Amino acid sequence: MINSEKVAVESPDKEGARLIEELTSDILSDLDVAHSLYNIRIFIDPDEPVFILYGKLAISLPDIKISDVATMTHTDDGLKLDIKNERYVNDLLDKLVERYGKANILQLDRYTVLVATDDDIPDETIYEPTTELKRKVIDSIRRVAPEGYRIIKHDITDDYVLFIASEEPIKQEWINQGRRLLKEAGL
Amino acid sequence: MLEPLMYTGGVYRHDELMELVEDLGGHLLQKNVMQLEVVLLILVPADDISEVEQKAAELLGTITRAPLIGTEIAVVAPSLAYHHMPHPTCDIAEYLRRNGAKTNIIGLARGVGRRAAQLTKSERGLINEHDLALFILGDFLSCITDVKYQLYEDLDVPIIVTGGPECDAVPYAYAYIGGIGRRAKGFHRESEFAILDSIVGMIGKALDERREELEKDPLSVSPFRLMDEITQQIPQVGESLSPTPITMHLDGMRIKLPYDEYYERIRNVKFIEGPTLSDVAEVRPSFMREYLILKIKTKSVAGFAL
Repeated sequence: MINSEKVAVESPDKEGARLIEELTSDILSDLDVAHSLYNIRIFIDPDEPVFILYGKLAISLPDIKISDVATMTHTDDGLKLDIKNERYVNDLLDKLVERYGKANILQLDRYTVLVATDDDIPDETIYEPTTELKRKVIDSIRRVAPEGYRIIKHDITDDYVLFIASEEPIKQEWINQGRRLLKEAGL
Repeated sequence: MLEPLMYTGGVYRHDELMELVEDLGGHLLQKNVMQLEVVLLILVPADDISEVEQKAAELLGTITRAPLIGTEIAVVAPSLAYHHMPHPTCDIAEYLRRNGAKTNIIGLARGVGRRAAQLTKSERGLINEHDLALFILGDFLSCITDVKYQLYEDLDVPIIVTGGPECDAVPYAYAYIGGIGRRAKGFHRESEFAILDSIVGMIGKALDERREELEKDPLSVSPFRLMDEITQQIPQVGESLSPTPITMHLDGMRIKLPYDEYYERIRNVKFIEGPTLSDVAEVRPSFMREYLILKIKTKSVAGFAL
């Protein structure tokens, strides 16, 4: 449940905390993840130095399969795919090329693809919105974290993300602190 | 006393303004033609500004004062990653350009973090070639005051530092301007433009102090006269594709020609009074590409002034 879309930043430097809070909101809305990541809590202490971020992930759309994008019919020229949803054509073609090779695929026009095979294509997943969302979330968090903090430990599931970054090797107490944040949030 | 001005207007008949500036004894520093618009950076004798303004009005162009004309400023960010670009680094550099400065954005190789923050020898040399360096730092006061000064403590040029928190002064810097820090959005509000204006004001003040210092022991030749002599005697300068083939500094200039090829010719540029360029200026290779750097000798070093 979304309790708060506000970012809560904790830091010994109050002024810095306020600036980081503003920066986080800007970056999240800029990269289109403001609605996918919520209940965000950040702890940052430049003197340690450590950056810990915890946030809940929104449930994303289900995976897209070949049958969601195209209908298949067998013809004399091979298997014909009529594309219903053009948005995922690139992902579909990538999958077909990977499976059958470029030479066996012919795109006749925007909505028709021919594959030189007599068998049915297994209904595989071609696009995973969850993976895409996680990628975007991690990308935005890396933009929020100070650039010098290159040693990173993160934990991302379907429900939450925990991100710990530092300039020094990650200490056990920081991981414990991150776990405590998760516990407080009931995860 | 020459006044730095920026003319913005149409391409049509803008050469009349250029000629007027020349007739008045002024200098044209940069000409940028963007489709049908032209921007000229000019220096005009203070007494004749009204004439230039009158001509600009006749050509339906505008004249604005651009206090940073004739200076090259290094805008230094800890790196060129998205943590600093395009906001605020590029925004600030662009604002300085609109005030007439030539800016170079420099991303440091090891500028980020606390433990590894340092300046390499070539970065130090490159920044020292400028008239002033502006360091764009982050959000935490303890980083700015306790650590990051290591980046600029050894530099010879005046340093202005910007960052997020408010603070009166930071070590080794000429001035500190707060309210910027790390940003993921551009400068839109009036209060934000006021901060940019205060940066320009502070840079102007630092450069004025440097000018005053130079006046105590004046340069042996005016940099603008030197620029005109070089442009006339070495026509290849005009063939450079750079927008400013000669970039002016307060006490010299950067010439965008290969050092090895043009070193001798530049040294032998002659003045009508007799001396050659090597008598009044020092020529050395720049840290930027293969360019040349000219540093004009002061009157006390050269023994005379032209």
